[in-house]
Amino acid sequence: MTSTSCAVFGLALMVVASGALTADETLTLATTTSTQNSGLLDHIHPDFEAKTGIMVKVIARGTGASLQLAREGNVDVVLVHAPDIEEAFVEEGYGVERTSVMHNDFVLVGPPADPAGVRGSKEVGAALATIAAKKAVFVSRGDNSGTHAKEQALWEATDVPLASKQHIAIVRGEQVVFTTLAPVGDWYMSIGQGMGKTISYATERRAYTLVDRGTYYAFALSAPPRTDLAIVCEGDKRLDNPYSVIAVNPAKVDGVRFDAATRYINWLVSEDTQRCIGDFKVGGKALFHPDVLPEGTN
Amino acid sequence: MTTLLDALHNAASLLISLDPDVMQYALRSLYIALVSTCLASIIGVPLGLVIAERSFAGKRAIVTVLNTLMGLPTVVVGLFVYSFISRHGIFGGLGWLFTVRGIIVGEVVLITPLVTAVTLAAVTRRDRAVRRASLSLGASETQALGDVFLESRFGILAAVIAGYGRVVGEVGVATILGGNADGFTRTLTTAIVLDTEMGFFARALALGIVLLALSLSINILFQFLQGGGRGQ
Amino acid sequence: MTLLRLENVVQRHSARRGKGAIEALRVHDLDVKRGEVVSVVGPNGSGKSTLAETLAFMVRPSDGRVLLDGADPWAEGRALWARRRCPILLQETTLFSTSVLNNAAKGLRIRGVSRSDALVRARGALAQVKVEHLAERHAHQLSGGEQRRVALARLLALESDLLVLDEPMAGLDRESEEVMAQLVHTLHKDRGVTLVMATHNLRRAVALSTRIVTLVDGKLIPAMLDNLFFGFMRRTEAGFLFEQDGGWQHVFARSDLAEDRWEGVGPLEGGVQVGIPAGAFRVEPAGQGGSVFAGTVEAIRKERDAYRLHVCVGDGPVLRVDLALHTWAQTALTIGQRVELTLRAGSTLIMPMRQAPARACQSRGA
Repeated sequence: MTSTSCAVFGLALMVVASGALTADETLTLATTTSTQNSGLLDHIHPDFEAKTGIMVKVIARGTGASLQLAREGNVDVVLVHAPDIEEAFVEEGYGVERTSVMHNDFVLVGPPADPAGVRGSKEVGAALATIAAKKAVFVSRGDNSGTHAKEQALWEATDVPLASKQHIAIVRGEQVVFTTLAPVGDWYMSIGQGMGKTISYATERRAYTLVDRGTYYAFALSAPPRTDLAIVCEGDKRLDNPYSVIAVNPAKVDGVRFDAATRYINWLVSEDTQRCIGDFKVGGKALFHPDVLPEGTN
Repeated sequence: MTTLLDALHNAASLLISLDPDVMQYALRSLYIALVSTCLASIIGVPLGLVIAERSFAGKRAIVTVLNTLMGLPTVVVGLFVYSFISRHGIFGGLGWLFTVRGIIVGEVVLITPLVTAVTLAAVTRRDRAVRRASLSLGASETQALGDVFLESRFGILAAVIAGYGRVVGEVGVATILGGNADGFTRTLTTAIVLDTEMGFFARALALGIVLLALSLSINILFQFLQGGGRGQ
Repeated sequence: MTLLRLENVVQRHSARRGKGAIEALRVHDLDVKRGEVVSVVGPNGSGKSTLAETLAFMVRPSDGRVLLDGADPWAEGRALWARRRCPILLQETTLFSTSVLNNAAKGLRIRGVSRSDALVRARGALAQVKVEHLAERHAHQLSGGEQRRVALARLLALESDLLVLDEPMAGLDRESEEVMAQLVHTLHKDRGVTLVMATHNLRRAVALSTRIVTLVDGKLIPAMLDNLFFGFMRRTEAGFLFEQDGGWQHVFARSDLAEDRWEGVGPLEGGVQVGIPAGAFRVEPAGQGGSVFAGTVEAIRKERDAYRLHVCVGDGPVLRVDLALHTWAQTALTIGQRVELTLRAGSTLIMPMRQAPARACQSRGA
């Protein structure tokens, strides 16, 4: 038993000692799961860490959750892709300002057999309306993410009948109303999952879904490919997907590292980094287009 | 699609090559599991002993409460602790959210009721008889308590092992309080969830096998410690 | 010289689940003097264990005082000291999960005796109960009787001058029972140890004790008549315990005290009756030789640990005769058979002539 007691004390000491093992400065970034899953941040962050000695701790949640973390002061900076929500966030005073970083687009994907016959559509609204009319299975993220927000906006622009659900949350003592729109019908599946799981689910169920190009390429072009769904609609202006970075406002939220956040943002839009973003390819395809460098430079 | 063979193949190559990521996740998982088990035992075992020894009115109520706490979903426990250590929570100033410490706090909250309850069960079986025997030989109350502990030691070790087992494969608390940040708070379990999310099923399964190996080796160690005793 | 004394002691079990508090023990006064071997006898559930544990300072009395060497340890906060002075062999045997030798040494180790000394003394104690050959074995591997002997060795190692034993011989195999009985005898005769034994084995109690007290329903009682189960007699007192109508009855006579509960028994001069414990008879088929009691077997009933015969002697009375099971096996008796009864020497009890129960006794009075 004594050897066990020794082990116990040893471990207890480890806990205490671990407090002393703080790294150099750490910056906590909240971003969306699709951004995280693309692998872009793993690719570019080492450069930031080398240049500034600041370690970036990446917490990946949905857009909604990321902004919520920011409001609570649990992260210092956010990188998200939902312009309307971002603007509200800044207007509320939680964010200092929106800085465009990069953009890509969403694509509508579906099974190679294309039961709804929408392959080659140029207009995403029409494609969605056809899918609804033909009652072809469509999988939605349904998780309060940027992708989900975009998807709802697209449905709203069509004539497809939608059901609306309201959800009231208390944030810092104030009421915030979240409204969810969803088409009526069994063919529409809202699974409440991240992008990767949603693609996998749609692949398995031979369904249509909306996905950001980055995640799509990552899945379709990996070895071996993790999906066989094909793009049925792309290029529509409404499918644009802009990413912005916002520092959490130290005036409104205590304990955030504003200086480190500012340095991060400056680095993110610096020429070198922007070039890096453009150079990031999966399977030969670029996933993101930098906003600050002029197009066509990569 | 993924076959078990793919997964085994994957796991083998990850281990043999000492893949740095896997090593990172494994060590972190091990560290969290051991420290949490240690702390929860320091709290839970004496608590279980004391509850067993005293007979008092609220005893059955306490057992009911313990059983209820054990049945809580891990996510709920995680959220509960989150509300305390989040920046705007009571202990927000400590900055423990999204750190390994935060995870450990959550895991300790999670498994202390379990360790307490199993200790209580182990001790209750024999405690009355052992206590009386000790007292009849002239032991003080403290000495008798120590004897009860010694007599129940294998049952108590089982409580510790139960706690360890609960933590090592735990995801809910680790995700909510740790945030799954690579290089900081990503554990084997959260990495598995992420790989599943990203569709890397073979790798996820492989990590699962690594987790299994980790759990098995520690449990074998525990069994070895426990092995000296005859069945009680 | 009085070593232990109970004064107006009452033990109550706390109320639970709607039932009121139960009085498990009510002893007005009981003395244990140095060098005595006191047996507390009585039916199951009569409070013998409670009495034993109260004497050993395991349980604090709900009322009253327990005195040791004239001191009141409970009142003085010295219960631990008292408990160490009165080691008790509990009714249930609980050995610790370790070797037999370590078990035997446990009491000494609790008192801070060094490990080496304790083990030496422990080994000696094990030898006294004849289990020294089991010293290295794990305690739980032993048989019930062997475990009980180890439990006794645990106490013997303490070399205390006072021991309390709760049912030391109950449920033991023959060999273990013999060892125990022998040991009690030795402790008393050779070492002058004061012993208090709770037992329902009356035969052993009679054989081993210097004094016997009877406990029924938590109270010390005296009495007896027909269907004598037990009785004792001294110069100034006699008490008897008997079964009647399925219940326990008692009669007590004392020549120098007023007792408000006894039933009409007069002073010892005058008419007497002879009482014979049912187990004191030897039964043989008639014809073996002159005996006062020759009679016919009227009834045979198998009890838990004996055969009970009703033998009609002469024109009556009907005497109750108990035969041990192995004795029964050797003498096959049948109803209607003529038998002769002989008595063991020293087993007869003389008691005052019985009065009608309803009539109060003449001034007992001092």
